[in-house]
Amino acid sequence: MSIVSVFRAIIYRELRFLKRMMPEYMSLAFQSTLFALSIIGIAMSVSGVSGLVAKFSQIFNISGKVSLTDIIAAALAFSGLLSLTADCVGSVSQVIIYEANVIDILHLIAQSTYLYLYYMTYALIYGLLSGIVSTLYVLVLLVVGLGAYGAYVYLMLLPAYIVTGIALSYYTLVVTLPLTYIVKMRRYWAISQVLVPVLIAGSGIFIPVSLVPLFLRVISYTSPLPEVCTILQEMFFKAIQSPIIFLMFTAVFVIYIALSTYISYKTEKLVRRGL
Amino acid sequence: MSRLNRMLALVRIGIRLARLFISSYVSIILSSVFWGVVIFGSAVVFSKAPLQVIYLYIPGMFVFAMISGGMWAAIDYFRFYFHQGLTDMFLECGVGILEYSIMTLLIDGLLISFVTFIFMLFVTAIYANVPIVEVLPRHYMPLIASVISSIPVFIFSSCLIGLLLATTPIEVAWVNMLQFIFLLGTVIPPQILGEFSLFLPWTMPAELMRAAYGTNMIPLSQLYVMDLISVIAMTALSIILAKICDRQVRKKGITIRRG
Repeated sequence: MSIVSVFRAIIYRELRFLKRMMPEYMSLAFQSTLFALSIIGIAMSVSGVSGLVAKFSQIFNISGKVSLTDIIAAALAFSGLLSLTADCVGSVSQVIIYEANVIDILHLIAQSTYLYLYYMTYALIYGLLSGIVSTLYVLVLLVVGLGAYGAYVYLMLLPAYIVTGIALSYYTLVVTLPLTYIVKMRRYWAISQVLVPVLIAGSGIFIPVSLVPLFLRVISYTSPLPEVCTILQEMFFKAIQSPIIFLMFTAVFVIYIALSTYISYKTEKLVRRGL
Repeated sequence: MSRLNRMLALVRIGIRLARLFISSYVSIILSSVFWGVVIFGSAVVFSKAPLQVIYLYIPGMFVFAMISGGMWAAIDYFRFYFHQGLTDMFLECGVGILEYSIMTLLIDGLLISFVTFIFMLFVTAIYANVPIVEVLPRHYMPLIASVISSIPVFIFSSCLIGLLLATTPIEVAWVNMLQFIFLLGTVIPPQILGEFSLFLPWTMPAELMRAAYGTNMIPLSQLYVMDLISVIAMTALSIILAKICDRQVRKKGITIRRG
């Protein structure tokens, strides 16, 4: 199979899956929205609106005037990252593990194409699709809340979501492939079950990463999420003041692609030796 | 006496079963704690009174975790074990959804929920930058009463979701969304929801847990009486739901989505 055929096959499969996965996407959108609104609601119930606005401005170091609508819009925009992480890390890891251990179609893929090509293409396509599909609810909510400006905000954030989706998919390859083929983890669902909340909690998502306890931050720094959160938070509240964060993200992105290519290639050798 | 012996035997089997899944339990606890921390950690950071957030909202997490545990017990019984062909075996041995929820009560319910609750308190205390002793419960009688009265809540949620799963082709994702209804009255306290939440039977154990921190809205003496009523009501409801569920399963089998 040529690389174009692999692309076409995976795109076809993922689009077919999309319809079946709709309840999961709806549930994810609902939960992410609930998370964002709960955080605002809980803080507001204790501190009042003025207290929340003051604390928010202080934490994000915003000099201008901030309204409650701005805070809710920001929380909803950040919740897109939550939904994206849960979808990308959860789905990519589960597909890899299922194909290797449960539904046993690995030999079919290995007969048709190179495994490393399959994994790299899959991560790219899934990250891209997930960047759009799992954050679509943000567009709906922002348009409802802010009107046409909401759509503009979403379109500004969309490239960040898509690049994050791809980076997270490659990150998941780096973590999951060794656990599946070398460690041969029996309780495979534990990977996505623990990894997703740890990454999200460790990156802060809704709060600056510097305020997250160190033991959580250390784990999340293995992923591109903390950098993305900082970029998104800066994009939302002020012009990017530290371009170094972009450089860091690009470096992390390149490292993941290089690492996942190497690990996919090694997996291929390992699997073919066993076949 | 034979009924009590049977229940003890079920609990014993549940513990033996649980020993096969220790790593899964560890991952459930970690996952629940970190998901909780995403909300409460951030809320604590944004709040001007972090301790008030902890005292008012986190106690309800214990009862919510019990409800969630009950729900997952039903999902295990009607979906996970069904796909492994074990549900029929359970039914043949006389283990319906009520018996299964009693079986899983000690580990999936009480142990997991309590450990999750304590860990969540500790991690949130780090976010709030306060010593851990400050977030521990202060009054132990309401705490014990809450733990005991959350047992019928676990069984009730298990039977309710069990009936839903057995009689409709509903998917786990929708059930996941449904569980957030149980946030009302548990994590979201009556102070926020108003008196409406007092009609939700699962509010009482959560309110007792809040009483352990002194953030309860209902006076303690009234709370004990209302809790007793809710325990009786939920036990009776659970038995009725389980009977309907068993009858439906025997008549029509388990409904699942095909294709």
